[in-house]
Amino acid sequence: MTQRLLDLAGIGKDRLHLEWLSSAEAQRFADIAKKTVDAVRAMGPLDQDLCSMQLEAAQLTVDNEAVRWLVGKELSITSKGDVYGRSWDETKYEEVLDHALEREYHNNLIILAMKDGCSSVREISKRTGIAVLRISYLLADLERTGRAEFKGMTDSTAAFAAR
Amino acid sequence: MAEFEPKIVAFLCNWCAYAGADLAGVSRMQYPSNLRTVRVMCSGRVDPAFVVKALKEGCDGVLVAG
Amino acid sequence: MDKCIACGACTKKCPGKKPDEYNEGIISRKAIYVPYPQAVPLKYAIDPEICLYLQKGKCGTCKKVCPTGAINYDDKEEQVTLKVGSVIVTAGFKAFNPAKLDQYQHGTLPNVVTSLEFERYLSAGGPTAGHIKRPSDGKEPRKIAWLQCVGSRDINKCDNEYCSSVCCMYAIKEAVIAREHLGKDCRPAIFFMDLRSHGKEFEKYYNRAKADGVRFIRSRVHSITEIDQSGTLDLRYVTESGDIMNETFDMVVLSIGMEAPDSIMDLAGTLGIELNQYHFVKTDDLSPVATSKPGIYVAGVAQGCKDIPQSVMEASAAACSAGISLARARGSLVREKIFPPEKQITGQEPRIGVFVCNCGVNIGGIADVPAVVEYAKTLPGVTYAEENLFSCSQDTQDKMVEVIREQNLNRVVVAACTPRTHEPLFQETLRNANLNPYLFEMANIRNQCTWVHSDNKEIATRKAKNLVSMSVSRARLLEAVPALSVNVDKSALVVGGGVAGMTAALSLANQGFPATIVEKTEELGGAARDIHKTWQGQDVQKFLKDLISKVENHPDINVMINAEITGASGFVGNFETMIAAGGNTSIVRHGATIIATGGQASETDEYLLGKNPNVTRWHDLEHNPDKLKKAESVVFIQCVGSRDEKRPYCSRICCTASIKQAILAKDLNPGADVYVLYRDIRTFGDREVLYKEARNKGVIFIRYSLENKPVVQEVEGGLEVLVFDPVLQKKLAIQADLVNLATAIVPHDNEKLASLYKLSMNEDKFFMEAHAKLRPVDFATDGLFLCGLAHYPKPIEENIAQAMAAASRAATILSKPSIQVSPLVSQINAEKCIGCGLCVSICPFGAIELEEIEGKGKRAKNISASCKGCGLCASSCPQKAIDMLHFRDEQIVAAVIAAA
Repeated sequence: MTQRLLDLAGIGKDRLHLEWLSSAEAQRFADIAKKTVDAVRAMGPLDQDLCSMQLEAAQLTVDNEAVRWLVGKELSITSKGDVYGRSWDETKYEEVLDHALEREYHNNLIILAMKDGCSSVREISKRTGIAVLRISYLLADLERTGRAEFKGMTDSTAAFAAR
Repeated sequence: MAEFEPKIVAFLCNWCAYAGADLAGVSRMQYPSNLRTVRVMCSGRVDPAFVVKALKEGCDGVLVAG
Repeated sequence: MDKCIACGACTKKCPGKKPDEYNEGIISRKAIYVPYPQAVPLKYAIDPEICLYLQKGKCGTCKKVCPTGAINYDDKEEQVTLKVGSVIVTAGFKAFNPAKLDQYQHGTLPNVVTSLEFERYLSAGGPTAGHIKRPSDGKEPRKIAWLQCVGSRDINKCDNEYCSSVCCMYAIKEAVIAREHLGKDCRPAIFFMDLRSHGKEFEKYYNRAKADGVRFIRSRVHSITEIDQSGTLDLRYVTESGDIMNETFDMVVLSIGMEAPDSIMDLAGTLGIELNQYHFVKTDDLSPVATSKPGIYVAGVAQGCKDIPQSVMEASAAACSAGISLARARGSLVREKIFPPEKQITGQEPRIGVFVCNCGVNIGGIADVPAVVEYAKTLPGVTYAEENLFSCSQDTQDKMVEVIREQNLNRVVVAACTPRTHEPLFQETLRNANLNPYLFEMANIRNQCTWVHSDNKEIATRKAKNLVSMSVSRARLLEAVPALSVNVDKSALVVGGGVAGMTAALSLANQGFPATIVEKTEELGGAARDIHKTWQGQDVQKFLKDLISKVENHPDINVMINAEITGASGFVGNFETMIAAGGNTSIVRHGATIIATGGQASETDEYLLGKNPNVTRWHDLEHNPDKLKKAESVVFIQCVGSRDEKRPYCSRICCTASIKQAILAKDLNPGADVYVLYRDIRTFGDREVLYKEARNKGVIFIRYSLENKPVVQEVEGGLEVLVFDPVLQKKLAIQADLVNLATAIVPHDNEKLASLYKLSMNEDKFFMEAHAKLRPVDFATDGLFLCGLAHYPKPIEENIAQAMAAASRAATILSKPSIQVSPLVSQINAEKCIGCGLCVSICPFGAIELEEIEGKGKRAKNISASCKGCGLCASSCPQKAIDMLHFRDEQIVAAVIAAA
């Protein structure tokens, strides 16, 4: 999940390595250490100036209650089914999770962009790299849930702000 | 230019990976010095928020090993 | 003695001098001295033989300079009388003195040293501070030779005929460490007869040493001569194929063996116990720690040559025997250790003390420790920082307590080895200094820093500083965590009904602790059913029958056969195990668990086993020795499935077992040709005499290598074995009536048990003990113990000792009404919790339940004693309502920020 989020944020999933080993596997640990360092070295330094907004949005996303719910429930729902008795396979569940993750991440990014002074859909798009259509769609939702508000028209362009 | 040396935080499970890392020490295996270990009682303790926090604070990568 | 503060002022001024025994006489010591740096108690003593005051009545300098008036010249040795119910002999050994063997010229040639002398050169606390220098000119040696079996496995000159058991491994260790100290230019070579790496994980260590550049030369060195002024040595030796070779070395290390200590004769006389022909304490194979006199037990090398794990096991076994004979008096003389009250530190500003350990040269030789200390002083919250030679030594511990009090510290960081071994020790130090043990944090600057970055001192120093900074950041946020204790169920569950399991159960029941044995087959006995005699000829079947009857008739032992463990939960003192037997499932509650699931001889498809009726395994012959009577030619093949790529371990028992059978073959039919095809003969300890006996009786030993294994084929009239003889340098074809295979000893399938009790296994699927040397029968998880073949292949006498050791360790828990458990558990914020129950479903230990809170609905609640503190609940809680004591979000994040 975190790796998918890092990819979404353009940081790259290879900055997070997940490994399993036992206490007896000293050589394996040394190999993993080397492999991880080599992989991250090959990706180059993480540019904080370029990614700060993305990282902030990612942080808000992993702290989001709904996202944490979906992650926490994955095992029980995919193995035992949901409260309606429907069964879920892992792929299907992860699709839903991915979808929710992306949505929450984009929401957070849009809000951060607005806090940063962007008000029009175009400005937000330029700042975040999210497509205009997707922003309009998400903004409607953010407005409805009270996380953003319509501030009126400026030069025939709709202006929005985070609440 | 000197080669880029990434800063990497390693969350290691006390019972598995941390013990493995200790054993690597006992066997004097040499490996890159970029890892900074944070010991946790289980890799399950690692909240995704810690990973993002590490990157946000200026690390270039994160290793979670259990 | 109480007044001595071990400041060392006396020894500095003392004029008396004498070779330092602890440093093998390489350097000298004073008349007033401490025998060795880690001595307990750390108090100075006067050697009356060289003290000028005691000898001639003048001097008295030490008394003048002592700041505390601790010198008392009238102190005399005194006799004290102790009333005891049992005696355990652990008199140890004496190192063989090679001066008796003139071919090695120890004492004449300066660069010929003993392994113990070399050990001192390697030691950080030794005369050269860990820098290896050759005695003749102080130069770093490049080529070092180890000569094995000096004082062992020989009776030509004042030697001993037995094998000392430990020298092969310590020689490999010294060679590997020497190479580490001296760098890749160092070329160690070990001259040996048979390489004996028969212990757990030893074979892998041997293989790694070979791969890392240690040379192994199969030869006994004939003579050593000095070839130049600088002291360089020439070794003359004959190779296996008969070529005479000469090679020069900078230094020669004699791998000296072990002998019974001189004092043992008097001691044995006083105690009235019997010794064997080598003056080791005499024991039976089937009661391995009992001496000839009831109530007196023996452990360690006093009984015979052995390594540390075996000595520690025997020590626990001897304690078990004493525990049985003293069961009724248990605890009657106990005085509890009382710690001073804990200071409240809530709300105080952090006052952090940082102690940076040099660990001799392990850390200090690589990282710049003074620089790390100076750096630590600059970190916010740090009010005190210092360096120690060994932070873990008793005197440093005492000093640390004083510093904590004087400096009014409320958090402590030790930068040293690893918390996995030393955290408990330092936590106790904090307790002694009125602080809660969880106000302590350790920075791992040895195992995960200097040891793994020893090739770059600057990088190691930088990393050490960063690790200290991370620990200090975390320490600032640490808080006191109150202790937690649980009651103990005073009974044990023993998994496995073989000799090990039965011995463990009986040893516990005889101390008054009830035990349940779970045996998966339909009868007790295990692998011992296949063995008829111990190596010294005692009747195993009679012993087994007797043991089974004792177990079955003991009122405190419950035996469940055809039983399988289907579920397990709980924790030390309070386990609950589900056992399915005879169609019913029952739940057994127990305070300790002993795993003794055993092992067996493996199958193989090599060498026509199963295809030809005259190819057998060793236990087939045990059951059917008549086969040997009829055979005119018998071939034993060793290491079948052991010491190869698939199973890179030695099965330990096979050399002795096959040689025993080879001797029997010769006894039954003296005219028969008996061959043993081997890779190294590993008749360790006194078992060496069997090897000698076999050779004397005409058994022919032919060595083969893994690359050139023997071939068994069917020919007209029987079997033919083809093998390359390295002495004759040609291929032999041996006609055989019988081929017997020493197949590897393997553990039973333990995967399920391992996952139920969360136990770890090594790569060979044997269970892993908590510490190979110091805790050989404990699992890492509290309350679980290990013995028998499930730990590693071993002969029956070692199995019995290990089972008694496991029982002894279990009794340390069962004998207490309650025990302390880790209080590092989850903490639920009832205000934030919405009672969703995600944590309940996600907890792998069943340590969270929902409880009804009036007016609020359900809220999560932690069951502290079951909680392992893994933190899965905390990282998954959607509301972020759970945090972990001692591993709080903010504490972890603080370390992360310091790392970045």
